[in-house]
Amino acid sequence: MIRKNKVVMFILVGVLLVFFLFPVYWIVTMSLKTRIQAISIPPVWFFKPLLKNYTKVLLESAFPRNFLNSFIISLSTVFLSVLLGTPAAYALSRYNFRHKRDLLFWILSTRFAPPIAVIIPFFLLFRDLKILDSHLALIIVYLTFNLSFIIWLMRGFFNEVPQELEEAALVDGTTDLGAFVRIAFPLAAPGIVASTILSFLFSWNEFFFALILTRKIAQTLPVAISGYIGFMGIEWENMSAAAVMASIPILVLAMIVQKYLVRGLTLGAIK
Amino acid sequence: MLLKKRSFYILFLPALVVLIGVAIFPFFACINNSLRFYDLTNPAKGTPYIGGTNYRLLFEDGRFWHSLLVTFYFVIFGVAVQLVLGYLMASLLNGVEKGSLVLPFFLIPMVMTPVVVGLTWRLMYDHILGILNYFIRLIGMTPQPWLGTESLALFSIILTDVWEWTPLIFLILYSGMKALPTEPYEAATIDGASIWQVLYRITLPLLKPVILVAILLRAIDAFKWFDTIYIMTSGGPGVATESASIYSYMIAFNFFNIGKGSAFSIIMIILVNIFCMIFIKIIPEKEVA
Amino acid sequence: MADLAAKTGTYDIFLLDGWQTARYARAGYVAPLDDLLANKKSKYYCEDFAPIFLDALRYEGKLWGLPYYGHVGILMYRKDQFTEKGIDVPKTTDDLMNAAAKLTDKANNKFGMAMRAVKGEDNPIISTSWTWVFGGQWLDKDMKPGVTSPEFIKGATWFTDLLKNYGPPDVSRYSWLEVQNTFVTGNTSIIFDASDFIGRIEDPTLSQIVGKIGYALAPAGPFGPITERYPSHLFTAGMAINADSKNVDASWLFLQWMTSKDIQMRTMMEGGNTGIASLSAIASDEYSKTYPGIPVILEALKLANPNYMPHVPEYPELCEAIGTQISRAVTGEITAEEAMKTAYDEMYKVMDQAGYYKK
Repeated sequence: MIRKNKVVMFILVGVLLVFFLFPVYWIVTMSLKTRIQAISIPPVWFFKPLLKNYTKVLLESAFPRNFLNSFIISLSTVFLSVLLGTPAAYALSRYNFRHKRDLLFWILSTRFAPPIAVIIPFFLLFRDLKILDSHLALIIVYLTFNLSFIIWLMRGFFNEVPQELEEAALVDGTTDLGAFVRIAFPLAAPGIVASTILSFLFSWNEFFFALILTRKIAQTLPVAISGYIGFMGIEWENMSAAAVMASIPILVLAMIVQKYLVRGLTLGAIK
Repeated sequence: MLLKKRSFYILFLPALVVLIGVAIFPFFACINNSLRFYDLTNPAKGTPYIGGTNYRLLFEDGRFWHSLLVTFYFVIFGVAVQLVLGYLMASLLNGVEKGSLVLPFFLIPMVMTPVVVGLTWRLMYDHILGILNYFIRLIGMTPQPWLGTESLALFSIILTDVWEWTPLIFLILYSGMKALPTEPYEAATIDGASIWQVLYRITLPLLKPVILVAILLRAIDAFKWFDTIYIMTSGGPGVATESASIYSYMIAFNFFNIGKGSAFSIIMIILVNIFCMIFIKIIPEKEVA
Repeated sequence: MADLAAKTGTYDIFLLDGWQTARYARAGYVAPLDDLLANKKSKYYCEDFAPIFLDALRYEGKLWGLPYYGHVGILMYRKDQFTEKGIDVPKTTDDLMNAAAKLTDKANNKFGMAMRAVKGEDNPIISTSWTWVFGGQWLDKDMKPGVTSPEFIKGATWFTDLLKNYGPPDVSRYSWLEVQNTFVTGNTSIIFDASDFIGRIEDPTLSQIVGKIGYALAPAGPFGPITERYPSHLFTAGMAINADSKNVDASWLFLQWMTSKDIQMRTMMEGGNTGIASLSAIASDEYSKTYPGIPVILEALKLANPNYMPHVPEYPELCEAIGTQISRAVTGEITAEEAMKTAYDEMYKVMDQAGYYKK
């Protein structure tokens, strides 16, 4: 009986893996096919894998520049968010005041603002400032969802760090700011890593703002990839090659910090 | 209290200033613009105040209400399916030996660039060239026009969202389950409780905060959902999958009607805040503050 | 187009969608070219742009861009299948319906006809090519929506029936991309689409039906012979100068160079851009040798009418109203007549708000 159960469970896990991995498999194989093979039905299961799609994307398209744009923008906005958000999160964790819950809710709600409500005013503002299609424009707009997110996550992590160590440091004559920098900050480092990766992921894959705010100079990967629907048809093979290359860095990062990632995703609701 | 008041401000104020900049500024700008006639491609008319006209035009527009309804479907059905499936997956892998080994594989869908997810599913859903109908024909069933009829397109597009985001709910619930204490279950086994009793009396109550957080995260993202819809159907066929995000984008950036788009934004902000307020009331106090 | 509304002045030159010329000209974002054309023509200027492409970039008597890309609608069909089934090239819309019927084999997943029916701009640009040859027009002489006129409804019904019955079941979501993909993989037999398709459907690395394709003028509708009304499916993208540009002279020179016959030939031969706009470039030996069907394209360029859709600033909104509703009718969930009634209401609102009906 128990054995039979086990078999059923393994089969179910297998079914789930097929469901979730098949489209991924499809993208990866498309990136190794010719365009005719990529859209052939019945599908071409066995084929000689081509690497030319990858070299084409790398050498003959704006992919490297788009990659760099995505990297600069994501890194800057995450860096700024962590720089501003971590101290704020610590402050909100270690200081109590009236209406704190309301303030926290307000901070969270900024993350939930509908993108259209954010983009219209910023589009008009950047137009007047003449900084559309620049890295700066996206870095600023991405702060709208990253900063509040970092504050929320980090506050959860700081709440888990026991206060006793900091209190002991205060007794030893350290200032409260010193206790934050030297004691609480290092202890919450894993949390910082997790929130950084998550924010990076959101910024890296963001499409809506980038679609509206960038054209050419600051175009990021998601918008560039959507550009493979061109005058000549969807370049399926190149699109998927670009997609694989765009996803690998973030996937590797996510796998490395998997444990923290999961904890981070729960907004600190799980101990 | 650990922090002095002065230190609190030193640490908190910089972030607060930026938050106010990136959150309050757009809100008031939107309110202001929503009360104007403001067409970016008609500068000759200027941007005069026209009172609540933009709001009235929206309220009289059947397509506006329909887009809210579609959004509502995404939030309710999309999240419900993801929650149930994610829960079942989490229980399953929690029960399988070495279940955590396959965990990394489930990270992939949510890490893939959504634009690519959309394009790939668009091809997979194709009636003639799609792999999905190929398999369906292979097992002798009737192929379906997945994105070609109004009712089916809504279903198909939700299925893509389920594929992309169930892993997130799964991960959250899975780690929640791993953290559950074992004593209540041992006690239940001794008492001879049924599976359903264990689920209702022990597991669900203990997991409640985690489940609520998962729902909140996904519901909000479903409300904002734009990328994969835009790529797969851009709201079609007809208006079947035209959510509020898609329709408001069209008004503001295809028609450049900034006034009406801003009014739309304000309505969406109000709706999302009502939703959050109700929701935060349900989440136990300690999870938030 | 957001570049324009962005008014950044960053880009001196941009690509102007022919159907949006009215909107951007009205907005004052584009510089008119007439003075430059009269006084500062350079040796690069292409003297033989197809006249309809230039017309498509005119609004209120002024020229706002030089054609960089353009296409007209032609019929592309499987010669081999026509011969096999003994079908003649359709001369009327009825012929086309019958031909599509004969070529449809649903059990084997083969469909007679495919055209774009997805909501948005793709659909009206095709579907109202056909309502046009049935005698229908978007707007009547009072600028009231004309989509509920008997002619328009007949045309829309014909279009939706054709696709519903003999097109792929999910044709309501077909953009030009799906039309092209299903055609080059041999799953559909006739398509009516852009003349620049030749570049891809005759390319052996992209197409499995090279050498099997016939080209013909689109058939005539009930309104009259194609010399009177041709299913135009006209589209032009023009190179235009930003009204904020500080380098007008340099931009003008660049514009002429970019659209010169020389560059057109090069983008065609080297870049595979088959939507070129110079008549002599299209008629050239190089072009004709590379691609079949050139005489048909040249003929269609004479027949197409740049006014089969109206050049009004409200084009995007009207387009959305018509396209969305025809797309719905193609799904079969409502009739073409019901769809056009809804479209009428939406179009009326757009025109009313724009101030057309004020007394």
